[in-house]
Amino acid sequence: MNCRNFDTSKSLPADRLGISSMVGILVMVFSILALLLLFLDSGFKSASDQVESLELVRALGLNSLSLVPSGRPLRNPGTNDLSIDLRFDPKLGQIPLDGSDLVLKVSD
Amino acid sequence: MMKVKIPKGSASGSLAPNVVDPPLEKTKITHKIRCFHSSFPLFAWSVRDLSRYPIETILLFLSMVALVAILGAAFLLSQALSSTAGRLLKNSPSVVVRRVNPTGWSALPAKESIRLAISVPGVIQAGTRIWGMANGPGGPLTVFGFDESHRLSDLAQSVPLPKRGEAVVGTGIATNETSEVLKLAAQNTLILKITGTLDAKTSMVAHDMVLVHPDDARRLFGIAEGYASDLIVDVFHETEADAILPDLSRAFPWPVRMTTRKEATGIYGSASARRSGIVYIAIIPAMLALAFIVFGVFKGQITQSCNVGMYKALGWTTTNIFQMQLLKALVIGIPAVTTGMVVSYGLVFRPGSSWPGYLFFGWKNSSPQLFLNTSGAILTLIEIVVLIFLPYLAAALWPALRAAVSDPQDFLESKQR
Repeated sequence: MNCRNFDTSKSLPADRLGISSMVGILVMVFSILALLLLFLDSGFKSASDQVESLELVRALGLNSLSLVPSGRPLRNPGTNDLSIDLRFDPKLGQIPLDGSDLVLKVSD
Repeated sequence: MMKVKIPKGSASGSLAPNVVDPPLEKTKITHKIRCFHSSFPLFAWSVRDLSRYPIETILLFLSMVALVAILGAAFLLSQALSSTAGRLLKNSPSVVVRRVNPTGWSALPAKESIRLAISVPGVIQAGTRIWGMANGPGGPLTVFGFDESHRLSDLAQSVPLPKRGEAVVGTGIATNETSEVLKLAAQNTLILKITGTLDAKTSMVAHDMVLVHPDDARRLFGIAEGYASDLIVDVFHETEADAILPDLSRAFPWPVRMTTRKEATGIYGSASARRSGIVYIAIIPAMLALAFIVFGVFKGQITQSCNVGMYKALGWTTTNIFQMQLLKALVIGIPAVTTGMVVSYGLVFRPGSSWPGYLFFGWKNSSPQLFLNTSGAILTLIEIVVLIFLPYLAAALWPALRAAVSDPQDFLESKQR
């Protein structure tokens, strides 16, 4: 094997150059292996985990995901319609609103 | 007189006399390693130099891992949620039509609505849905009833169909409730027997969903026979959905509100980006802090020791010193960034991970398990690496560059003082 006869190759054990080199190589090999695994996992991961969800979406005609709890606007996109004037919401009738409170009163 | 410890490896000499000859295989490995650090002597010197400052090296490694992991998880989650929502909703209806009146949503006549929708050119299929929100034992739940559309056959293959008085529940409800009976309250109150649970893998679409018989759904929401909650419409091509909206709107004799598939998918994408954006705000000062730490550590290593002066006095060139500093930065940076990438990837793409639900989407008791798409993940990770690695390298190399071009006498004198 061709190997240059450099001084560091003949280092004494106390120099720790050999062990440093080994540690460095191991760290780099670990990094490359981890990156390779990451590439492989992201490239070959099958979408089989989503088959049931896709069936359910198709079967029920869902257009929303359950990422947030029921009852919140993001749960059913499009259901909170801004064009509906909430002044006509029957539930608002329970709140005692007095219009006179909203009028600015200028003191004499 | 200052004492300078001269590295023994740099001096020529033979192996210690008490070294016993190792076995042949071990000799080969040792030889290969020796060959490596003969070819790249600065690499071994860099690693050894880092081991002289173990605490700084480990802390720098950990802070970089944490930064990459947090930033990576935020970026990946945003990207993966958007892509998964797009994929899952690919089979959703092209347009959902809801009838509105001044009080809000109102039920629409099923057969007449389907007939009117089909009459619009471009519509290839139309159906109705019966659904709504009901108060369950742990808070609001989404209750879905089946109608007589073609979609029933698809569902029947994987989900047990509930009969009258029965309910099939999502995993979020199943884990909350130990009882076999479910009480739902909306316009009316129903007590249903739980006969099945949806698969955990449907958690992203039906975590807190209850499937009931359509008659039960109508009774629960006070919807009269022959009426439905809303109308779903399919078009041949997705781009047609936007084009037919005016025609579809004119086809109905009552005011309607329509949501296209593209709108629904876009809302999830922007919502996840907005939530992850909170993390980005915290990341900017964190990156600055990392850059200062890196600068401080490497500057400290250079100026607090007389190494640079010593190396230059021994004949090292400016390039040698700069290369060693670069290797030191890479020996910490590459494993740290890789570890951070692996951690963030694992956090986001581990099948069934549920932490984003608690952290970003307001779930309290049981969060939906996520099964996210990995497409585009590598590109996102590369962006993060560039974002973090370039400032890191700049912060690490700047003090080295300044030290490498300075006079070695200054370092040796500063050490003496």
